[in-house]
Amino acid sequence: MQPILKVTNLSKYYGHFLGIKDVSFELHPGEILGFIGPNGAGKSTTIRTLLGLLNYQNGQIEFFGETLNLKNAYHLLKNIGYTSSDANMYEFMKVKDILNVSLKLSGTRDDTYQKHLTTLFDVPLNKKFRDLSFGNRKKVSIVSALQHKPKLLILDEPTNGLDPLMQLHFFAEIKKLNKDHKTTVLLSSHHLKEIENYCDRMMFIKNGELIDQNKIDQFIGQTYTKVSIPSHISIKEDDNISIQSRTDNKLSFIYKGNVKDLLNLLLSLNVDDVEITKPDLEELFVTLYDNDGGNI
Amino acid sequence: MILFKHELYKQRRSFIAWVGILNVFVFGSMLLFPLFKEQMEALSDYMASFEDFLAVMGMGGLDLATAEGFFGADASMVLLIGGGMYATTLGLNILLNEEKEKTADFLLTKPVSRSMIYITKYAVGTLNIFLFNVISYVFVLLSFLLINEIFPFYTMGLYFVSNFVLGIVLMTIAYGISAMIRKVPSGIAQGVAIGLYVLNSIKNVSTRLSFLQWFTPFSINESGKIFTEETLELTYILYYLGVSMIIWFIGFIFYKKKDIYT
Repeated sequence: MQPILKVTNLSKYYGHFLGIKDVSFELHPGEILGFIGPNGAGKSTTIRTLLGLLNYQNGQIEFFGETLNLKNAYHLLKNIGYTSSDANMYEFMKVKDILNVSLKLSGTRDDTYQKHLTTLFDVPLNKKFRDLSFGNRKKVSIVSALQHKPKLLILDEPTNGLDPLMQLHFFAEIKKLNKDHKTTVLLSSHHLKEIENYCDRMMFIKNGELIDQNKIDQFIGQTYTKVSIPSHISIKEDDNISIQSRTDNKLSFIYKGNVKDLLNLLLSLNVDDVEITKPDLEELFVTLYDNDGGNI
Repeated sequence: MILFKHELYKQRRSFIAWVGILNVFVFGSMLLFPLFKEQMEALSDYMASFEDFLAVMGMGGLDLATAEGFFGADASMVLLIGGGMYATTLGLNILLNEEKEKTADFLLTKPVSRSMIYITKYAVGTLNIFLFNVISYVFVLLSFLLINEIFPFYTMGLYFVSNFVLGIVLMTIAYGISAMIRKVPSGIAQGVAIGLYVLNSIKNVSTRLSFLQWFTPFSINESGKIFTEETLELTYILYYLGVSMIIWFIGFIFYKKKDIYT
């Protein structure tokens, strides 16, 4: 099946500074892909490059089978909905005017779905944007991204500032669009539970480079395993072993690799008491980023 | 068309503020003319001895005792400098504000090409400058009617055509430059406009400084020359329109490839 989005060896430099390097991934129709990384790791740079806001030095971006370039970027954007992390819009305009302009610029005049969304998210249509709280600004940004029912949604930290009820509404709507219209989603978020609960796959970025990508259930329990052994056993950290905690009687670490290799390792260490569990995403995040914070 | 209307709507506040404030000054100034008319007659004879000074200010040959001369020497300066400041501010901000106010992400992720954005915003700027001059023309006409003076349609038309071209040139240059930069300090537009006006005055001080005429678009609109010789400065108009369009085009090339930050 042809991917909705195919990114190949994408690199972006800000002068001499690295933004992202050799980023490659695919996004298939109907898929929800989580995008994880600490602040400054390159998530927003990747997203802004995909949207044509930033130029790139190397690589290729294909949307719907067409290579993105200066001539067709705007035409491809017709099928894309985007929320930025800071949700800035025109301060002196009324919310309803902003949403109507957004809808028309997106190439449609049918506001049926807009009405549904503004009711669902309780958007204050008659207020000026400057008078809105951050949470309400995010709601406007979400409605603006969703209202024309795009084929691809690129969401950069969409639920920041939303209360728990609105977060539930938001993900229910995303799931509904995903199910009914095969809407594909690229979701960048710091809320790891969101990624775990709603995404099919996820990818990690660190220092501007993708360090891993896989299906969620492959990551948790297959690629990465949480292991607890007696603390008197000596074990060294390496590329596959990341020690999480050590108490008087227990040592816990995250192991990256297949189960067979893990068992061989444990046998070689003469471990007689072992507990193997699935790590949660937060533990994985800490394992992947604890060393240098992923700053670029 | 949606983008055009959207941009026009966004610009309405600053447009109303500039047009309103400047024309209140001009209108008020012209209404005061009958009170000063007699003194102006005396002053006019006196000022005639300051021919060089008047020439420096671009008012050479104007008769201050007539409403037309009074407009050329006094009220027109408000429209000239104020209009220049407005045009430069508009040109510098209309495009760059999307980045400054962090709304570029909203606009540039819609299916609208950067070329369309660049051209549409410029068209809105041009319309604003045009309306600014049309409205100002009407205000001046009304003020002449109120003080029972004959309105010189032709020369006043020439003045406002010059002022329109000057506004377009300043706006176009500022617009092209704004496409090539990321940030601009607030107040710089007004400063640049005043600086160029001063440069134009300096140019009139000595013939040795006349080369400055090619570095300040205010050479286009000197009220003294327009009201006495009843002619447009076609050489300057064509020169500065050419220069501004080159800068506009370079800005266009830059803008299509510009990195947009928030």
